[in-house]
Amino acid sequence: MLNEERIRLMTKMAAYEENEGKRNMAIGHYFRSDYISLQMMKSVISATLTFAIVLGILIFYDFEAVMKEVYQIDLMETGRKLLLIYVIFTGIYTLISYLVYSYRYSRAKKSLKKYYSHLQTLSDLYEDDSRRQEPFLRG
Amino acid sequence: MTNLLVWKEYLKGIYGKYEIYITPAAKFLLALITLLQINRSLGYMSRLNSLMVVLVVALLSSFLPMNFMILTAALFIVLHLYAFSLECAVVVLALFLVMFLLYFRFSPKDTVMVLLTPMCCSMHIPFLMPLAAGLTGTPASAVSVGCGAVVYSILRYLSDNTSTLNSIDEENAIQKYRYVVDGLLNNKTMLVMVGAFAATVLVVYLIRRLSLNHAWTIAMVAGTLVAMAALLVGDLIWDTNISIIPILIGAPFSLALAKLLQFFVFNVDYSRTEYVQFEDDEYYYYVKAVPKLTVAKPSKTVKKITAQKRNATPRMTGSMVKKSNKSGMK
Repeated sequence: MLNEERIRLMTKMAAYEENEGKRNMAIGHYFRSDYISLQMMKSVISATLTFAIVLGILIFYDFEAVMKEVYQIDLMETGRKLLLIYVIFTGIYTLISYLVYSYRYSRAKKSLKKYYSHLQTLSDLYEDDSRRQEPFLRG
Repeated sequence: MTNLLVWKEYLKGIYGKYEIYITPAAKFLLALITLLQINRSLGYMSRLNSLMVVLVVALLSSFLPMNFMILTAALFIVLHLYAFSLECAVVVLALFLVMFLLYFRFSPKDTVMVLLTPMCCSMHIPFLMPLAAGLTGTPASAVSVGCGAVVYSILRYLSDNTSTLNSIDEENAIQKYRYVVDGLLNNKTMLVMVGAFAATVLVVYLIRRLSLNHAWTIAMVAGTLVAMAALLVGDLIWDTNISIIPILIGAPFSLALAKLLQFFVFNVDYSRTEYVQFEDDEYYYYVKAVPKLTVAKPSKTVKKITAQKRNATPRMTGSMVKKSNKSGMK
């Protein structure tokens, strides 16, 4: 027999699964530390690529001067300076991404908790139903 | 005001019912306008200028995710610039990549603002997007709108300096390249615009969160004033070439449109038809959940006075019928 209350709950849950829930469930599959470290790794790659792009643009901008001075400048010193800038830039970016993703993880978990409590309610409704049907089945 | 609210309820109901057609149609229109505008302002690659190509891409955008539209718009821009000069295409592509890598990885949904901000700017209603972002978004939306302002400024710079760029020899690629990068890094107009837009988003966001009466309206007005003041001050200090008069004329329009958006979109609980499928041990369920339309029509008070003719002494009887009509419609 169709149970309206159950259908309403299932519809709500299916809508959640299709929209917001899809993203939250993908996050929920990870442990907190796994999820955040994966995202931070992606952030390091992003920051490295960005640094390379910007550096490339700036070198090409002053291409003639760079080519002239390339034999006169202290390569080690310039390399060290660039590395320092890279580390600071990547560090700040990764720190920001850590804060963003830990917030997102806790938000997703909270939302999933609500979803699981709906699941519990649903299973209770099924149990009620089967208990109600039992006497008829026996009789 | 009551009529407007009733009208809003009707529109909400219509959207809820026909969402499946309205959303793709809106996306199609948005993609069409964006691509036509890109072709009009850049238009160096003749193949992309054909209406057929634009229509096919717009049609694809109507049912694919929003980010497809952004991607095609970016691709159109880069290809047009590539046909114009390789150096321009490289710099703009690098700019898009940096934006994507640094910011839009976090909030892919905000990418639409990069599309809409330049569009509003070229329609002379530049403040609409900062206002809308401040009203709906978070403080981080300031970055999205800022990115939109950067894209608008660089494209404007390139289309304004077409003749100068053309006059530079093909052999002197580095000089051309430097000219384009200067347009990106030493562009005071861009800096003033980004600063003004970001400040507007933050002011609007902060004020609309206050527990004031009419906080949203106050936020919009304050945001418009801040944006205008920032642009004027920036123009005075750095002598940017922002044409102030169209902005002054466009400001009330931006404000009015933001107010309209607040009324229709931001102020309502957004409801849409859901199509879901699930199953249990006994059934397959194919559910179409349509949001209920409840139109609260204004209460009617009918006052009727009838005189009774038969009485020798005429006497007035008053009957008052109070009818409250709140109907629910599906």
